[in-house]
Amino acid sequence: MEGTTAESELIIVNTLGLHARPAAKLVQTALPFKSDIYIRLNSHRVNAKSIMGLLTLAAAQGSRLQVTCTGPDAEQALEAIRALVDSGFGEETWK
Amino acid sequence: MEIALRGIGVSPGIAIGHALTFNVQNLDVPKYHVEDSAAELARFDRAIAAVHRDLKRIYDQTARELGAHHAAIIQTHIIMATDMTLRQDIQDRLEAEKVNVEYVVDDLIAKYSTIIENTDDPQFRERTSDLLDVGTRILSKLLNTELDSLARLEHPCVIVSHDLTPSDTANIDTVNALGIATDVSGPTSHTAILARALEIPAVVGLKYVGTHTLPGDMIVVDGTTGYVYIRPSENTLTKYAKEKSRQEEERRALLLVERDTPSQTTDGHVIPTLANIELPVELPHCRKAGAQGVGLYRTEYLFLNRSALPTEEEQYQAYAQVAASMESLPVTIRTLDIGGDKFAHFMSGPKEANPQLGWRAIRFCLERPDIFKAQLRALLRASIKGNIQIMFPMISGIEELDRAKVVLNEVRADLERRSIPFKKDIKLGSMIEVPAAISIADLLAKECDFFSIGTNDLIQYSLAVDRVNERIAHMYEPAHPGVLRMIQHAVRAAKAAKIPCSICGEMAGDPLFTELLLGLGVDSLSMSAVGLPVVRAEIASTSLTQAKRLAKRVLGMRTGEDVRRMLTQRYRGRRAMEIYLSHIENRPPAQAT
Repeated sequence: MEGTTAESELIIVNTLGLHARPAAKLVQTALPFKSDIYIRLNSHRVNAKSIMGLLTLAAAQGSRLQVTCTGPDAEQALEAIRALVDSGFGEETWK
Repeated sequence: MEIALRGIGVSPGIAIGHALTFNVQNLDVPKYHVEDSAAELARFDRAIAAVHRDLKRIYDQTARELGAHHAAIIQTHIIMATDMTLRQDIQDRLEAEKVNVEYVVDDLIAKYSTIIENTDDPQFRERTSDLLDVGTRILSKLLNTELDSLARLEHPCVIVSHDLTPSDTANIDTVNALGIATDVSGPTSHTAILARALEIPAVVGLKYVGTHTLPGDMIVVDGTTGYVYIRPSENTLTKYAKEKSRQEEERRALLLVERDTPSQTTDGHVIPTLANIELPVELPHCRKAGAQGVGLYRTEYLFLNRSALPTEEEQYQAYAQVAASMESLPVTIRTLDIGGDKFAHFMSGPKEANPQLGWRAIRFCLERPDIFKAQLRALLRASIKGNIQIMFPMISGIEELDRAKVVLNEVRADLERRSIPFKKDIKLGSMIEVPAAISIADLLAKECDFFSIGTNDLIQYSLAVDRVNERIAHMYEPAHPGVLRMIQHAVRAAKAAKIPCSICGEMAGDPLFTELLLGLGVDSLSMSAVGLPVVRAEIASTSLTQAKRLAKRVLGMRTGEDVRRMLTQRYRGRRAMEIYLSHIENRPPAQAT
C-alpha cells in the first residue's frame, strides 16, 4: 500500500488484558483508517481490524504489542491506537 | 420418576409448565459434502445478516432499559459476528474442504476458543463465553433452530438452562417465560437481578437441572424455597398448583387494598413501607407495589458483572433517575458495599480466607478514595433531583463514620468551589449490621440522621453463623433472643437521640415478624418490592399497643424456637380472622324470593 509506515511497541496496562470488550474497542478505532494495521505479539501477527485475530493473541496485562501501520494515514492510526492502549481501554489498570 | 433438586431461590413465586431447554452445549451440528462453496458462503452471509439484525434490536432494547454499559457487550458481539477474519477463514475452508458451512463455523469457533483457552493467563480462559455466545447465534440461524433467543416464545414455558447470558436475560419474553431454572450462577448474577426485577420466579445454582430435563418435560420451580421438581408426581403437582393459586389470589387481593395510602396500624400509627432495589429497572414494580420510597438502594450492582468502574456520570444518571422517579419520597442510597459474597473484577486482590470479615464496604471505600469520592460526588449532584439520603454500610466504629464524613466534606467543598449545586442538608445514616455498632449505638446515634438495621449481616455476625454452610445454616435464626435484643437496643438508642430507625434486611419483608418489629419500636420497614403488599396488610391489621405488649413478652422468652412458635400462632390467628371477615364482606346479598 502507498504511504508511510509507522511502528511502535505498546504495552497492555489494563488488569484484564485484551479481552472481548477492549478488542472490540480496538477494532472500532482501527476500522476507519485506510492504512493496513497489524499487531504482533511474539511470533503471532494479526490484523487489528479483526476481533477474532486480536482475541487469539490472548494478550494479558503487561504484554508488549508491536503495532505496524502502513498507508496514507499511518501516523494518525498509530497515535489513535496508542492513546487507546495507553488509557487501558478505559478499564481498571490497578492491581 | 420425579426428580427434586435444590438450588438458590433468587426470585420468589411458583412456576409450573413445560420446560424449554435452552442449552447451548447441545446444538447438534451435522457434517456433509457440499460442492458449491459459493452457495454455502452465501448462506453464511444471510445468517450473519440475520444475527446482526437480532443483535442490533437487542442492543437498542438493552441500551434503553439497562443503559449503555450493559449494551456495550452486545456491541462486542456484533463486531465478532461481522468479523473479516472469520468470514475469510470460512471462505478459505469452504473452498478447500467442500463441506457444509455450519460444520466450518462450529469448528472454527471451537478452534478460536481453544487458542484463547490455552494461554497461561487464567483471566483469559474464562473469557470465551462471548465468543461461544456469538457462535451459537450464527449456528442457530444456519440450523434454523429458534434456540438463539428467548425474546419470542411460542407458548408459555419454563426456561431451563445451564446458564443464561446477560443478552439472553435482557431479551426474555416476559409474557411467556413462566420461570427460570439454571445450573450455575448465584444471587448476584444478572439472571437473578433481572428475574427479580421482572417478577419471574427463578432458581439458580441447581447444578444438574440442565442434564436431567428433556424439552417439554413438566417442571415446577419454587423461587421462594429454591426447590425444582422435574417430571413431578401427581401429588407434587396438585400441591404446587394449589399453593400457586393461593399465592396469586393473595397477591391480587393485597394489591387492590389501599395501595396508595400510607400503611397504618389499627390505632392510627403510620409505618412507611419502602422498597429495596438493585437497579433502576425495578422502579415500575416498586411503584406498582405501592412503595413509599426506596429504603435501600444497593449501588454495588452498578459495579458488578463488568470489567471497568462505572464513571461518575453513569452513577449520577442512575441515582438521579431513581431520585426523580420517587419524587418527594425518600430514597436511601447505600454507598458501595462490595467484597464478601459480592465480587467485582477490579477489586480482586489476594483471595481472602474470610471475606465476610474482610476488606469490604466502608473499609474498602476509605482505602479507595478515588472510587468513594466519585460515588459521593454523583450522589450529591443527584441530591437536587429528589429526596436522597446517604447511608454508609458496615460501620463498626465512630472513626469510620468520622472518616467517611471527612471525605464527604472534601467532595462538598470541591462542588462548592465549582458552583455545582447539591442539597446542603442531605441526611446521613449508618447501616447497623456489625454487633459492635449495636453496643455503641448511643454514640453512633449522636453522629447520624438515621439508622437502618441490616438484619441479614447482623444475624450472621452476632450468631456467628455462615448461612451458606449447610451444616449450620439452620442456626441462622432471626427469632433468636440475642438478635431481638440487639434490635431493641439499637431502636432505643435511636429514640433517645430522636432519630428514626428502620429495618432493611429480609426480616422486614417476612410478615411473621411485622407485629414484633413494630412492637420493638421500628419506624419503617424496607424490603424487596414483592413483599410489600403482604407486610402492608399485616401492618393494617396490627395494633401498636398490642404489638408493644407482644414485644415485651417475646423479649422475656428463652429460645428462638419459643419466639417462633408464638409468632406463628399469632400470625395464623390473624390470617384466619382476615379470611373470615373477607368471606362475610364478599358474600352476595340474600336474594329475595
